[in-house]
Amino acid sequence: MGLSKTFPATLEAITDIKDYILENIGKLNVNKNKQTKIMLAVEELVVNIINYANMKKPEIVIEVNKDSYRLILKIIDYGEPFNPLEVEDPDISLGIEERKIGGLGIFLVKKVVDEIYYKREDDKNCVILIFNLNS
Amino acid sequence: MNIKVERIDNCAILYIEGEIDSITSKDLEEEINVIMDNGVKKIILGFERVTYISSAGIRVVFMTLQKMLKTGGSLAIAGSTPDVKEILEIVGLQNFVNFYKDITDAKKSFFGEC
Repeated sequence: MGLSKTFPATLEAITDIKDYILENIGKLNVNKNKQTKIMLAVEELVVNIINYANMKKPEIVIEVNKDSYRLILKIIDYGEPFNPLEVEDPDISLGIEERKIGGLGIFLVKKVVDEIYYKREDDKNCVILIFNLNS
Repeated sequence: MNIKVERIDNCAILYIEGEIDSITSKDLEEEINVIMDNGVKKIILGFERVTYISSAGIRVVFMTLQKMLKTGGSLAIAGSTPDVKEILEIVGLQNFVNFYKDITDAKKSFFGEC
């Protein structure tokens, strides 16, 4: 078990969530590029939860686990079942006039993480993000 | 995030500083809408001091491009750091926007007749 903290599911909490993760990875050797990707994945998933999940409890739990070469983040919400891995990727080959503007967030998450998993646990959505720190 | 605007005739440079995220992107959208409503056709987004961008910021760039299709105009991004540029390229922005190495370069090559 790593560290975990509960945040209100509000847009304003994003800054606190990012700060919490930054504090906890502070001692690890995380380069700036990887740090940017971690922050991006977390922001996109948290915004998605706030916007879409019809929540039993308006809270988001962030769990931080780490070993010498990986950061493992778990993002938990109490919304209706929502698997971000089932969201269709936007067609980025389309011209600007046909391009849909939404759907970029989850697409970016999939591109910047090293591994991503989803599971439904009781009445909770759990998304697990893994970042390799030596790459 | 901070934005300073420099206007030269119907061109404008936005000097953006800080993080363009889900919270601050609204300010960028507003700033762009104001200058476009005031007749600006060519916009340079000065990204030299932008440290982070999320999909909310990218959405503003795409919305601006779609608006420019209707009203005429063009957009350039100047001086993005490698980390920010990597994110912009994942979503294919390089197909629609000219990237310049810095603001000075963009002013010279992109504004031209302004």
